[in-house]
Amino acid sequence: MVGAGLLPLLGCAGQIVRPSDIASPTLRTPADVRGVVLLLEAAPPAMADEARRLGAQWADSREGRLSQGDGLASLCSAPGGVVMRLAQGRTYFASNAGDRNALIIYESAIVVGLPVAAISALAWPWYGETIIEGTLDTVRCGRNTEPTRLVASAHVRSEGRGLVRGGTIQKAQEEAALRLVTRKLFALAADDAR
Amino acid sequence: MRISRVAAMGSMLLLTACGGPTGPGGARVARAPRLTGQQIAVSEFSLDGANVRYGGSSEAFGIALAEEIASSLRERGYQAQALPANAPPRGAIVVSGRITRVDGGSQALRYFVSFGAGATKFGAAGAVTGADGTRLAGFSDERWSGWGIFGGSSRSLLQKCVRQVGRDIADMVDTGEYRQ
Repeated sequence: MVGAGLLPLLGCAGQIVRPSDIASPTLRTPADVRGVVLLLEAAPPAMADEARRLGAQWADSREGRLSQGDGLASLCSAPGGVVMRLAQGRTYFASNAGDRNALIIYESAIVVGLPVAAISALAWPWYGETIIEGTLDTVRCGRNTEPTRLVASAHVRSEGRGLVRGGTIQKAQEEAALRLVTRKLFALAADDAR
Repeated sequence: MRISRVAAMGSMLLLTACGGPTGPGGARVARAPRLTGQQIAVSEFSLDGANVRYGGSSEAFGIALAEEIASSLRERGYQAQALPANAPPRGAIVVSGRITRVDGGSQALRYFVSFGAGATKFGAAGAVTGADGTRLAGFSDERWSGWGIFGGSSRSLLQKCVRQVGRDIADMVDTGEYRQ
């Protein structure tokens, strides 16, 4: 009964990550690369999925698996190819959703605070931001055997009103940030291959 | 009495920002030419030599600060991007530096005593350099926060201060007025 007054606010948090939050860099496919091997064992599902999608735009892309003790260069089949190993680095998540929800629950629990709870939920916006770092080790077959490490980070920030859990924001932003950092790394790799 | 408690909780909402030097009166200010049109790279701030009094993980504060600066600069119309520590600098102008203080304070003091007791503090210092390494300006900033819901968790208050320090540094780069 206590929370009944807040029920209309449930589900009105809106879209957590908008397409404009993860505007992707332009991906220029290098023309002289022939044969891309993707190593995605260390990449979380969203990162791996995005890498497969981007890799398909490069000529002769396939997934590979590295045997223990072997270097990336061992997967080279012909000069002109590229072996790329994608991995996630550090993550950072910040949000005021926990503080907001604590206040709203407290104000709802003392009943007389329901108006404050409702005003807080509507007037005090929630925010969430996620930063994810990613790394891409690349070997240009026939050019270098030691991998070159590319590092990039992606920042996704969103704001809204209504009731939302911090975990919901984190999950939505994490997937978007993983996709964005993958696009950035592929764009860097394409620039480096030129 | 309940109404006064409700009013007090409501007023707390207005007091959740970070305090710190907000104008030229709070610190010495050095002036440098404003940047126009150059691409700005914001390097991850290092934790080397920082005064850390915080039990949680602070390893990502450096990249979070760099991302906040870059994001604030983009909002002001600059071309800016944050770079993790191991990434080579890409930009005509490089903003870099180190975190000077990470202090989680005390939630118990914030809740029971207030008035600044147990406040979290976050500080950073650094420099703006040209692509050739020429130092254009130096800066320093620190923010504190002693207010939060039920004293506020140290993590969320520190994150708020990271955002505020990032915006302060972006403001300095934008205006060309650098606090020392």
